[in-house]
Amino acid sequence: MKKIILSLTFVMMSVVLMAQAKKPTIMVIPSDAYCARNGYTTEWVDENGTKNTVSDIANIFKQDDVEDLRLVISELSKIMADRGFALKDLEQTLKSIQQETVEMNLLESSSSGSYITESMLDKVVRTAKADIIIDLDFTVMQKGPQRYISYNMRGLDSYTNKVIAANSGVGSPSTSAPVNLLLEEAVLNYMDSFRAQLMAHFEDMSRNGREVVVKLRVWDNADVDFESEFDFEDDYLELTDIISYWMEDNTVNHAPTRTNATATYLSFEQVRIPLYKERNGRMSALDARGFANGLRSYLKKEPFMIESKIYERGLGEVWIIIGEK
Amino acid sequence: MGNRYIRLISMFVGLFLAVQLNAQNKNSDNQTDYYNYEVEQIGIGQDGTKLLLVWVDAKKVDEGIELAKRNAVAACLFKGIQASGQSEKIPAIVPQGITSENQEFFDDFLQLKDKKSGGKYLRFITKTGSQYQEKNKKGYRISLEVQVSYNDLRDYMISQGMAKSLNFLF
Repeated sequence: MKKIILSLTFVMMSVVLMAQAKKPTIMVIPSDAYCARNGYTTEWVDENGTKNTVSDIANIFKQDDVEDLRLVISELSKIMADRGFALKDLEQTLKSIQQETVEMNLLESSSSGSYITESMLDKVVRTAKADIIIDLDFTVMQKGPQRYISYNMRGLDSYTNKVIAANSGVGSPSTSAPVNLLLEEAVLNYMDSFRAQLMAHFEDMSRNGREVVVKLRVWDNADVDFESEFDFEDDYLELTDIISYWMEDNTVNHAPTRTNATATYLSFEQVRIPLYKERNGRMSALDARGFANGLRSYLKKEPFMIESKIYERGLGEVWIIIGEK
Repeated sequence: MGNRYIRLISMFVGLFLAVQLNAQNKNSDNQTDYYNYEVEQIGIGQDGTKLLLVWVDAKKVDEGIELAKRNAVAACLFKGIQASGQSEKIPAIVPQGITSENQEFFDDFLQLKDKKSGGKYLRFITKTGSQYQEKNKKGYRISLEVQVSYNDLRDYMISQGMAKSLNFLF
């Protein structure tokens, strides 16, 4: 009997140890300041006649003078790949999206000749995105005959918008070193500290769970909203409070922050979800969608009987829209 | 007369033992003191290396040079190196430092090189540069430029289970 218990414990421990959390994707994107300074922007006028300027990331790599940017991104990619964290390449992702669009427009069914359906939302979603953005800015500065690099790099969580790592400073001035050497030196100088900050973020994640954002909305034809009352734990509570209790019960820190609560909109930030959940006797990685599925399933049961749709914005943000699918 | 003679011999023996014990303690301090020294970054090395300037106190110059090399590695492992000039801070590879779990490993890895053993840390010293020494009452104050293969050192510590990989969770 003892042997069986010991074996079972060993197997369970092995399963827990073997489970791996979902790995976030990381992408380097030039900052808005970099794009504006170098003229990589595009302008458009909205329906109110206001002129807007936005970074033209989609076309940035078609410009002639982006060798420096390419060099810095390559250097960062090389270093991160050495650390077991291959970066998602922005230039390649943009090309891939363009190619996919061409292929989708040409692809037709062999039996009926019908085309692939793509909603406006699908088109919007099909953009270059990553879970962690490395927002990069650098300038080659000149002081008399000397050149030096001003460098700024921030790691941002795409969903919580929190800065998880940041480095900035100026490099050593030089009269003889070419710009690419100065840039390489800048990347090497900041990368170890940047890596240590990323490591601290992942260690915090392993201790306290992944931080995600959960937003709840209501379809306009729904017969229920967040002020609807239900008989719950010997009391009549509004759906807002019931959902808040569910969030508290199912998060690692039991203290997610409810940042908005109206009849039609509820949002929770600092939602720390477990990295793993047990499924079919083994631990599998959990992301925001997997976590929200628990809430969707809870709302579908008695006494609520509310149908809802899950819209996944990525590894760390999910929307639940109640009322129907 | 006989008693005086015995007392004198006892005093000498006592004095000799005290001096020996003190010397042994000092050696032992140098051997296992992984934190008390001065270290500074003197530039951004080639990819994966760090250029450091280390100051140590030692009785002999040879001993001091060996200690400086060992302490350069110890600094990368436990203390990290503060930002200086245009160089960004170098983070410690083993930020938790010496613990009861890793003490045995690091005592072996960082054991100073002598004729018979020690010096395992030397494989992560790429090269040494300018050396400066100044004689004082206690011995020598020595400074030595050392290039450490920081990335290789970190990878080795990860492979030995002494440090975490950035990938540890995924």
